[in-house]
Amino acid sequence: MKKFLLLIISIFLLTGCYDYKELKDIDVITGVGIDYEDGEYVVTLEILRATASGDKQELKTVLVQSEDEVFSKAFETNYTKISKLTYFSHLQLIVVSEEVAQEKGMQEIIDFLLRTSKIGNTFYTAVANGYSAYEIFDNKQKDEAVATYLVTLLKNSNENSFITVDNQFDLLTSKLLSKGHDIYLPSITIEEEDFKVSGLAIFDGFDMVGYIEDKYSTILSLATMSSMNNIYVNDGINAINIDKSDYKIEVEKDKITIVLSLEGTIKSLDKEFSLKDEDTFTWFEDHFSELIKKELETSIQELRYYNSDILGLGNKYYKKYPRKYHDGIGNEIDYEIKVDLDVNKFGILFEVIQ
Amino acid sequence: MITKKQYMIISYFLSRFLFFGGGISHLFALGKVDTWIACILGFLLGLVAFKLLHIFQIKNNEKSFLDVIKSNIILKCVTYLFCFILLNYTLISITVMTNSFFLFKTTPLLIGGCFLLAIVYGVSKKEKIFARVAELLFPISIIVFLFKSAGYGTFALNYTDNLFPMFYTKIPDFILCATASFAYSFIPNILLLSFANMNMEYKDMIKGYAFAGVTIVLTILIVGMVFGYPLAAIIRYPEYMVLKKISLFEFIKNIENILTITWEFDCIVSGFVIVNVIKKINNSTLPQKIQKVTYPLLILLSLIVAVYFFQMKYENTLAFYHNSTYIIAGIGLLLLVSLLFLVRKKKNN
Repeated sequence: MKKFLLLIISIFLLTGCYDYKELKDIDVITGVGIDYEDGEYVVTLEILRATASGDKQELKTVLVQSEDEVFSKAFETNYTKISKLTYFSHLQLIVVSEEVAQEKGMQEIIDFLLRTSKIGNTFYTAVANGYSAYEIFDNKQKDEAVATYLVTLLKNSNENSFITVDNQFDLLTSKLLSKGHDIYLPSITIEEEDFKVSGLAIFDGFDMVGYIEDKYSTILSLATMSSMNNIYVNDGINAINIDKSDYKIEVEKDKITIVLSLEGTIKSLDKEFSLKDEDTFTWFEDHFSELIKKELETSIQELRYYNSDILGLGNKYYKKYPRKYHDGIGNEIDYEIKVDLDVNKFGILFEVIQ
Repeated sequence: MITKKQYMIISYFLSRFLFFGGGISHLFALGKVDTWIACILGFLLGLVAFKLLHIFQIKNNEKSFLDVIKSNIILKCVTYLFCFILLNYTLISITVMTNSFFLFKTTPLLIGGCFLLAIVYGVSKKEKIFARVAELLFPISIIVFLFKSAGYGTFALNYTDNLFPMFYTKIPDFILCATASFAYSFIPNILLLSFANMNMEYKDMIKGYAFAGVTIVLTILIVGMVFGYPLAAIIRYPEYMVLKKISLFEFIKNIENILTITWEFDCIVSGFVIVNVIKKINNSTLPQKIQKVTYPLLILLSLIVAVYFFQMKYENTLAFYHNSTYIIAGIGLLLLVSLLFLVRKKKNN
């Protein structure tokens, strides 16, 4: 009898599907846009919604928007405009406008997003350059949600990957909270209705302080991530492609040395050169090592102008000499750049076709 | 009677369950970047303290520690209080976590009730059966742990920088962290004395504990590497959050909810042992006529206190979070020292 009762109870309690939801009953949030207009936060949710069309189910994106002086209220008010259950597990991208990043800073936003348990922390963040975040999400793509499209664009951007796992929201926050480390975010703009990745938005603490140009961000990526890259460097005539990069930051009491180990492929060369001559390779290695070194130095000077330490030099110093550390040391300390470039690939031509 | 292998396995689960929930973030708040070093120290202290359990076992001719205290009502009350606090800790961890991440709309009483029901059912089947359940859950726990390590181990290696600067935590905080780690890992193992005396060798007794130590230190190391200090200290359930990073071959993702199953195992096996001791105290103290009523009442009391007093009032949960380590360590050590004293006295007599 006991077993029978247990069986009956199990039928009702152990079904596992009593509260399941069909795709058509939930609103999947793929992107969030955050603007600041007239003293109020404007939060836009990009919703991927399943709609029935004949026998088929179609997915379309819808934008919902709310505003308030307080960020959390602006965010939560959106729920009053959505009839279905909101689902944040597939949130891919948060786009913040320049006004938000520069005037209000990211503190309130980061605090709210990290605090909310239903939002996962593995999404990416970007800055809308010259447009509002709403305009970015309103520039709809044919086949997919804007957030999905932009994340793919940022990951596969031709110059280099602007986002890696390092830029996921929780790891970004971790960097921001650690001593002597500032963050950078990729910025997105629209050119003739097409999206374009446009340089890096750099921060000093929670506040965005400016943009740095594409060419700097490309070189800086060599000193911020070790990866398989596709970075094109040229001097007007000769050019190499950096396929693989690794970096090391060595800290001494009064100096920091940035060591780049790079592997490159010759992409174009002056007609005087022959690739049967080993001196050509030596020339390329020396010439481009010097070029990269100079560009990196200029980039660091640019960062120092903004008082932003996105390379985390201060953080490295703190880790080695915590007692000697003070805020801003990363932007004050002397530094040296060493580039070890190995050029050993060149395609299938030995000579320049004339 | 349980086997030596089952003893080691139960020790493995008991040594882990207090870390789940508030444990790891509490340790990070104390130990900061040096948490993992303090934890190793805590576990080493535990290995030394296991010698005390071994001494008790050698000197005790009786079956279990409950036979030693059978006429001592004060020690019985202390033991019940100890079990009551441990059971509350488990129930609070399970209900708060489940309610925060998985079952937002389910009432905590139902979550805790279902969990407790499974434990009570296991205990009703006697030690041999629940020890066998632990034995079956152990390989799953190990496989999931290995899977987790493979999933985020290599990822975490990119962030070894976050473990520096080493030895920069203030000494009092470092010592507190090591003590808390010792308390979380070793103290619940006192309940192993409730099983019949198996005259085990010291090296056999510590196997489960040492293995649990390796898994916990590795988890703390990975959380420390990925999130770094101070983020690891300010987020709740950092050990759960880090699971979100697992990505195997780019297609095994979003499996954090499945992987938390090992913590459920830790809590459920530890729950078996705790409730089993409560049942034994109840049966050896109270008249037979009322035993069947008082046993469920004692268990229900834990559930009601855990849900209504702690889970639903966050200020109480917070007070518990801040003080439970010291209360558990204090009562546990008091119990252990009293037991050693009693058994020595008996032997001398």
